[in-house]
Amino acid sequence: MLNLIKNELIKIFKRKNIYILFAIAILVMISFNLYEKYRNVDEDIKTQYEKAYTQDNLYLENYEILTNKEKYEDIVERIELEKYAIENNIKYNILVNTESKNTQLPIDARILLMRVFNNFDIIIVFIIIYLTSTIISEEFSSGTIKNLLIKPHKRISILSSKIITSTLVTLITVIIIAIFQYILGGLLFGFDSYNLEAIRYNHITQQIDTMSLSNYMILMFFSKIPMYLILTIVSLLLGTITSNMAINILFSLGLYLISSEGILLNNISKYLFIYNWDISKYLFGGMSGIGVIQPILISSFTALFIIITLIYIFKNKDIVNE
Amino acid sequence: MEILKCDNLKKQVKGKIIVENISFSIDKGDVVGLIGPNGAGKTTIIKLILGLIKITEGKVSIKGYDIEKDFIKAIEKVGAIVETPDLYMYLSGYDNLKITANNYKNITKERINEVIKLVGLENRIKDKVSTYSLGMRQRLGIAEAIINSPELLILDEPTNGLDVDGIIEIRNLITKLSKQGIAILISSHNLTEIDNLCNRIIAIKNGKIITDDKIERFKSFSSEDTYILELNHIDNLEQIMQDYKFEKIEGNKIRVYITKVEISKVMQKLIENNYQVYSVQEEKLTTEQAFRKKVGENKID
Repeated sequence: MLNLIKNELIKIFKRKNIYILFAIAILVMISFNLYEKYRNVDEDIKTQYEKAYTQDNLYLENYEILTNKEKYEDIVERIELEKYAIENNIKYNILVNTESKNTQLPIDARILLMRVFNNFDIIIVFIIIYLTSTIISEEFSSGTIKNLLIKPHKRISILSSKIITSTLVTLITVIIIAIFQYILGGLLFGFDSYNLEAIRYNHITQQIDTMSLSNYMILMFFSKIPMYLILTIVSLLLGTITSNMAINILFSLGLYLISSEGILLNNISKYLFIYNWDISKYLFGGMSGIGVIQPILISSFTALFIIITLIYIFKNKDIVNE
Repeated sequence: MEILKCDNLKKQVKGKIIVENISFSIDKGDVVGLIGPNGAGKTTIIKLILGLIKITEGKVSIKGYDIEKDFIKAIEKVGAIVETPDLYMYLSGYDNLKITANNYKNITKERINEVIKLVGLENRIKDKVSTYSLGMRQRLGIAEAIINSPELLILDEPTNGLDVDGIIEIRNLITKLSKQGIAILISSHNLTEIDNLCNRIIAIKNGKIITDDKIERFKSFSSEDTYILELNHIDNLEQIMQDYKFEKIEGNKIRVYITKVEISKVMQKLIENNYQVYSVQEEKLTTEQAFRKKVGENKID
């Protein structure tokens, strides 16, 4: 098994494309950070919070008659955080999930790190889906899977090595993006802000929660990982079924976009795994305070179901002419 | 010693029978040619042997191990190229071999270098496979197939895309391997190659074996032999030869379909009718001619 994993890693890390992909990701991150660094800001933070607080309260009072409404809980969160910032004379931006309206609050490295998964989710998702496609769809479409399947390994061992490699690659991608943002943010905005607390509004307790930035990032990491891992195994399953890298990438990306934009989300579809795999949305009482148990259970059962299906199909697939 | 045994193999897909009643065995040192027209089922048989597709009925044993029940033990001494050598194009030849070697125990660097030298790729082994010619990829595929010192080697069109020198090299390599006692199964459309390499032929048509025979017996298959007679002239031959099947070929030569016993009668009749017989030659069929006779007019391409 170790040799199989070693082979998979050789195959991935000897690809030029992976380095081009990461280089593009880094360029995008640098551009985004530079934009945040050099955009216009208003240094009178307290006045901005006060104005935003007044405006958001008015917005909430007239919520029922508004068209193109934001999510109610986002507005509530903003109001509470703005109130907290005013009361505690906070001199920095503390809004993570949403922005105060008509403000030009300065950004710091801490906020950018806290928002790293929101800002660069699509990049992480694309890299993961692409790499996972090469691990399986490309092997089928190019025919190299034949060579692998006539070696002295059980099919389950071969598949396990691919699942383990995909998981490793997913984890490494997420960690690299987060570390890079940490370094880039620190270099552009200063590392001092990393000593500040992470502040979030808890919709369940209706109170402000504070924690160290490192604890917050660990929490975010573990709450985003289920989505990335489920996307990984969905991609492996699609790759095994279709043997077509393009279809695999498009379909997997499509699933992610439907989920992130809440397309087709209603009272029935809300139990689908794509609306439950991003546990971070359920933290701090998000998603109407459902809590994290439901999404964790749905995600776990989904992952198990997909893995069982993947094993069955891979073990029984006839290798015919592609 | 029997290396491979196929017992009544059948493959059916959605009600359609692809191959059936496939039974044969291959012993150590055999070089067996698997021939048949396109779509006959040759590649299906190879894939059934290697476990790439599920067996509907029947059994495959390699060195006594069932390919379905004891896959690892059955396959560990098998090397194969199926359809085309499937290589990682973005990796070097050496990396491709290294990845293959990692799938087996105890394949040393020395063994990798040995197979590189055997297939003549020393000068290009560090280059990406995408820069290789078709012949070089074929050679690398063969290197991958023999790296584990297999006891059974299965080659699907091994000389495909090779130039004359390449074909000769591969032919010599296969001959050398067979002398080492490796059992070799070659599927090929190039019946000249089969002629040169194999000591046995299995001919497939419409998913069934129609012949499994030593190559010499395959080529002289019928109860009738063929003789080429050169005469002084071939005028009015139809009346004299009405009891025999014959055809005119080039010049004053005819091909006569008769047994050895009848040849003297034919010659006597011709001489009595004032023909002069300059020469009599038994015509040996090539594998291709024998194949066409057995399989019928299906095109071999």
